[in-house]
Amino acid sequence: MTWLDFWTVLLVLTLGLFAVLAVVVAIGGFFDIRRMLRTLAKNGEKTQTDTTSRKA
Amino acid sequence: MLNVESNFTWLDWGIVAGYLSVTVVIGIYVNRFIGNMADYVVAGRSLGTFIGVATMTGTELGLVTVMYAAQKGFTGGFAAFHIGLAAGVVSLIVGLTGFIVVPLRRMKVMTIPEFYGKRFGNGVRVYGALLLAGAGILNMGMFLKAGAIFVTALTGLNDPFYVQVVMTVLIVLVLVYTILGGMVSVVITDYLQFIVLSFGMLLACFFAVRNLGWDSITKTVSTVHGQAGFSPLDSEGFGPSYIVWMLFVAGLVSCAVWQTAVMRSCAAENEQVVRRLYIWSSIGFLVRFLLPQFLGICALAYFWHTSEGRAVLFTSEGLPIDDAELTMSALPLFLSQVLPAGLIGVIGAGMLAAFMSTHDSYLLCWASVLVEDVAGPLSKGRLSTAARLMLARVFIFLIGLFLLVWSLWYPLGQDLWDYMAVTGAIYFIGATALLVFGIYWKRASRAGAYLALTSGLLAVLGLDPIKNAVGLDRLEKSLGFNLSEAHIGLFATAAAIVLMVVGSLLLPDRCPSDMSKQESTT
Repeated sequence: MTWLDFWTVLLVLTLGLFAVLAVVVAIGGFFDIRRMLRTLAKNGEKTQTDTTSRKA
Repeated sequence: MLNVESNFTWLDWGIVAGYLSVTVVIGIYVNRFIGNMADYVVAGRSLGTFIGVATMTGTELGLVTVMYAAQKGFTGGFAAFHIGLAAGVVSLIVGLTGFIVVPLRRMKVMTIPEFYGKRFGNGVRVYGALLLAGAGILNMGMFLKAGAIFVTALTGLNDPFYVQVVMTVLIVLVLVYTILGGMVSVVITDYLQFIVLSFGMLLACFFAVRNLGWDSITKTVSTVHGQAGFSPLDSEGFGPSYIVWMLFVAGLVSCAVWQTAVMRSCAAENEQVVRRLYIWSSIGFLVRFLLPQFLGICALAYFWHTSEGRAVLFTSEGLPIDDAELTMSALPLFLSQVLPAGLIGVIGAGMLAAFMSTHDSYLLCWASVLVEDVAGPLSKGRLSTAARLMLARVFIFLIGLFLLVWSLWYPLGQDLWDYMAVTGAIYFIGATALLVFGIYWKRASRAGAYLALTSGLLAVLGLDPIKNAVGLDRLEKSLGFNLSEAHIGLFATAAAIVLMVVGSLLLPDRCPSDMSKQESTT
């Protein structure tokens, strides 16, 4: 196997893997963002409740 | 610069403007979710695997990465692929073993100097943070120049005045949404950028091969570079020492030591997510070099066959010209020729968003290091959350100002990737020794840490202006030996390891660190 053959196989493999990764991450990432914003909003509400109860 | 007509139209400008406006609106919108410093710096440690992969790839596959990787493809041919291969394989190994990154996540640190503080004390933390931020800011010093070259070449805007206006607008947009939204806005814009750029790059590769033909690409590389264009071991090209240097820099450092990458593992939900993040991101680490390098090779093949391109971008002997700014402009010029209107706007928008994404991540990263690891310890914990957030935003603004000045002033005399490896080495040579020995060797001491960090400063000798100023170029001529940045970097790394071991054995710590105390109680 020559260096050119090796780099060709690597390039084709990389392009294929990256195409799959891009689709998977595009879908999975959307749901992750939704979950992250919910968690952050919940944390914010909790901090606000803690501060209010401490004041009371 | 090469004067060619660009395919960039008003439709493309519209796409770019629309895309950039959406990212800024997101930055402003997510500001409402920021409650404390952990939300601002590491998104409340709530990153899932997929968004983690998107943001890690989004940050690392920026416009600057694309520019320096394409430049390496142009000047090194297919042999440059070894850099991406090293990055992908080492990142996969880090993911499978959890080397460095899992212990860091377990310690719940937000920055690497915070680890220094827990392991070696506050003095090392502050010293390490100053080195990290200094090297990091210097490292991104050429980002604006790379961005300016990209915009000029892609759009056909040859008037330098317009370029300066565009770059100033970009840095202002970046500052606005980074200052407001912190890591949460970074994560969301990274996600959008990941989608646009991933599909854009894949399409660009398709158009490039369709336009040039595979045989023409490989034949041109063979004509211009010879065997060195294919074999990275060929000493006429990269050579073995450069490969070892890349295994270290593009491999270990990029994914497990460089602060912006480590921040993603610190922001992960748990240790399992950290491992998964690195395993998946190994594809991203491979791609971020390989795809732009391939496009750089395509640019080489394209301009070799045009009379004007050959006259400007190649020497009379048929080698790529030794002018970093010209070779960097080859990729955007090539894209402006082969991509159709509309797609060129999408790629342009993706690249500019990538430029902003890299900027915001780096700005946030260095500002948080200065706040958390310099101002915080020096104020002995008296800074309130509001004061820390305010200080981070002030630092972001000041760094932005510095970048504008430095990119206009510094003469880039070498490949952008080599400039970045050398400036980054000021920090990461010492940091690697501290992380590896600090985590895996109980006897590593404060004295060893100071010595290892200081030895990283030797790396500046790899910068061409410094090398010439201290007379290393004359030494090279008298010895008849080319002392490359790889040789200097490897020497400094060996010095850091030796000094860490010798310093720790000769000057052990008298009182145990926080980390050692924790180990003895568990």
